[in-house]
Amino acid sequence: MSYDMDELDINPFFRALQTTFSDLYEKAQEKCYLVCVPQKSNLVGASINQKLLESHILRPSPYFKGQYISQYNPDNQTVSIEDNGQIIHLLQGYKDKKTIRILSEELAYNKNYQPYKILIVEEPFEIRSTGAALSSTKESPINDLLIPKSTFTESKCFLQSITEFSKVLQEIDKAISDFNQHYMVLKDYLEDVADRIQFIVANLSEKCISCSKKKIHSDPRFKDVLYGAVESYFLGMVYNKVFSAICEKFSQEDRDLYNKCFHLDNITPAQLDIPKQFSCPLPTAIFELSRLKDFHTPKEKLNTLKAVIDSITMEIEAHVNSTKQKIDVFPLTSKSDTPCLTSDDLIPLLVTVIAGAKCTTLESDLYYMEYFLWNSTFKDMDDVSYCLVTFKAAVQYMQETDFNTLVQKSHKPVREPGVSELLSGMKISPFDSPGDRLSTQSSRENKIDSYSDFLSTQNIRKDKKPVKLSTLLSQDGKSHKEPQQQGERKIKSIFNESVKRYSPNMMLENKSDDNPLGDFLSGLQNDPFEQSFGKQF
Amino acid sequence: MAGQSVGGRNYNFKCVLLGEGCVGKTSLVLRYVENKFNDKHITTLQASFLNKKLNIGGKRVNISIWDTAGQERFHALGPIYYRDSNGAILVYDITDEDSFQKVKNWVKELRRMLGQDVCLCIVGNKVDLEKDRHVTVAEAEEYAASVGARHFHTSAKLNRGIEELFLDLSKNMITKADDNTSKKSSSLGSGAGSRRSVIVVDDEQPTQKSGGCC
Repeated sequence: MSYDMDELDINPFFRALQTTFSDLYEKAQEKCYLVCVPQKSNLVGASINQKLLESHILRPSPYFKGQYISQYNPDNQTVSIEDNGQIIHLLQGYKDKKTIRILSEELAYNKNYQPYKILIVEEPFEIRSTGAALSSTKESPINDLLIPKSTFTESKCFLQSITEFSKVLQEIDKAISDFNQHYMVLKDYLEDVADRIQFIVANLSEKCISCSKKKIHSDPRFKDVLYGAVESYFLGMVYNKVFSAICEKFSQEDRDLYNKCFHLDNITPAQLDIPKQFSCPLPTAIFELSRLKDFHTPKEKLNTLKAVIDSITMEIEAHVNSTKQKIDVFPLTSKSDTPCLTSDDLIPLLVTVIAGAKCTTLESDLYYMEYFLWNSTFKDMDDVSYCLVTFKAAVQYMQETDFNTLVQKSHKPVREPGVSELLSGMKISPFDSPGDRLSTQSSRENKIDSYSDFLSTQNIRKDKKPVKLSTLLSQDGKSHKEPQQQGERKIKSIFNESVKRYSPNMMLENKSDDNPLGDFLSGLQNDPFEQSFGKQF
Repeated sequence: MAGQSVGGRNYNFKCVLLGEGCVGKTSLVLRYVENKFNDKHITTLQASFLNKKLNIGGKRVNISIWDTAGQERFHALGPIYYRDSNGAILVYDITDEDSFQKVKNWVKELRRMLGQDVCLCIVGNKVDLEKDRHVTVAEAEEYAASVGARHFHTSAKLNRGIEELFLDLSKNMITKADDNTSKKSSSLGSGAGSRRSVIVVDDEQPTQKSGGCC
């Protein structure tokens, strides 16, 4: 089903009811009528007028159960709703006697808190949009401007795509250059750094708005998207400088957490009180988390955390389903017996994933995600915020727990593969190791000896500079890559929407032909440690 | 997704869910968010973060329901979850006295951490097991009143009392959010103590009588 969870927030029909035709809507609420809202994608080209709205507001028929009469009286429009509540039949008063699918139902209450229903229906009862619009499943280009940009590359392409911004983009690049060259980023003044960047980003975004000419640019949604894009672009370009300081500030915490990951080599899932039905390898989640360091903007990093939790859920779901099919160890007779993942389960599961991924700068990353993200309307409330908080909880639990004191428990533990194993394509079987540890002996043997050695493999490298916007603008516009063109894959999200996952190499544009560093230095830039995990797939 | 909430006046609330392991808090919240059109929450096992949208008096209300780590070993992690909550649902099992005592501890902690800004709902679940009740109605209601909380009885099994609970909580959160907004506007800049509880997006776009989307 292509139904958007936020349909009513963006639906022009519902918006008209809330604003221009609020009298109509208030009357419908007062009488507890049934309000049918055609989904937005099938309203393209439709004239939203009083007649259309009235024909979608229904009151129960005084004569027949299950039948409703519209508020548009002249044609005596009558519909019926199937008992299962999923199909509407247009009976009389409409041009065609057709059936219309109900996509969703929303709970609604009037001012006196009496309940009424809002149904999202597949298409308008009478006025249909053109065939082209009906068959189209894609958003029109104009709507792309209203879709928040989640990656550095998307943000950059978005900013480049608006020609009116060309002068401001040069200012943005100048501000980035000034920041990188002259601004002192000190580890003990990170809040000041965040304030400063926030101020610069807000200022530059306002400048973009002031030179906007099109009508859509005055849409509050466009402003949100623009602010977010400027923020992501700016942060992506100053990442090395800022994140180095954050890592310096949290070096002790990062080191402690990294060491804890190795302590967990000797701990079984049972000792972490992970329910037995949820004990399974989580290689996809570990792989996702291992990519965290390859992303440079807080939004990208947050989406990575979400992808980790989505992966955990999907892997466990697959495990539970396969167990269910095999034997009656976990007899699940109905849907209501399906075990549910709660926060109490997620924390220890995340501990195993963090231990498997052997993150070297996770504390720094969490700080960066929390304090260097400003343009998010639902910050601290949405699903991504929940993922951040769950990670923070898991990390705090790891830091405060002495895993050496955990007592060996009885049930057969599951061994979690390390990143090195995942990357070497080693096949892991859930129950094949006599050691049954979260990480293997071989991975320990192969591990990089010290924290500092491992850290040196990270891509916090000051010689790696993303290409500026204004430089690209001066080049042939054809060189701009659309973000969807390469390296994209989708993870089914357990929350609201699918998460687009990109190969990390998409974050930074490919180097231009005129390489100022020469072959040797550019060879170092492309050394194996910089090889992104994403390229393996 | 953030940033798309435009049109009319919309509210976005964070609500934390607290309760011991066996009190049925997950079943309760799954009952509330499930619907016949979309049962993916149940099929995908995920019960730690759930969303519910409803419409009250013409306003859109989005409630993000955060399951909170409730096990004793995660006790210290509670504040990470509570932060910036507009509401808290504290669930106990009417047949389990200990679970009610646990609720009392959480109430103390929530009041200490969040003050009076958070709307509290204490919920006695499993009323289908009335014959085994160990927490009296009078005791529970008296306690809830004493701490400025609302009290509800529910049965996730029978789907009883759940919509009423969330409607009442939503009403209280809207009232509190409106109060905070008016306080903020009457004393500009002195919004200390009132968390960013609500997104009120005023209709900035010119109204239109006709035309397609956007």
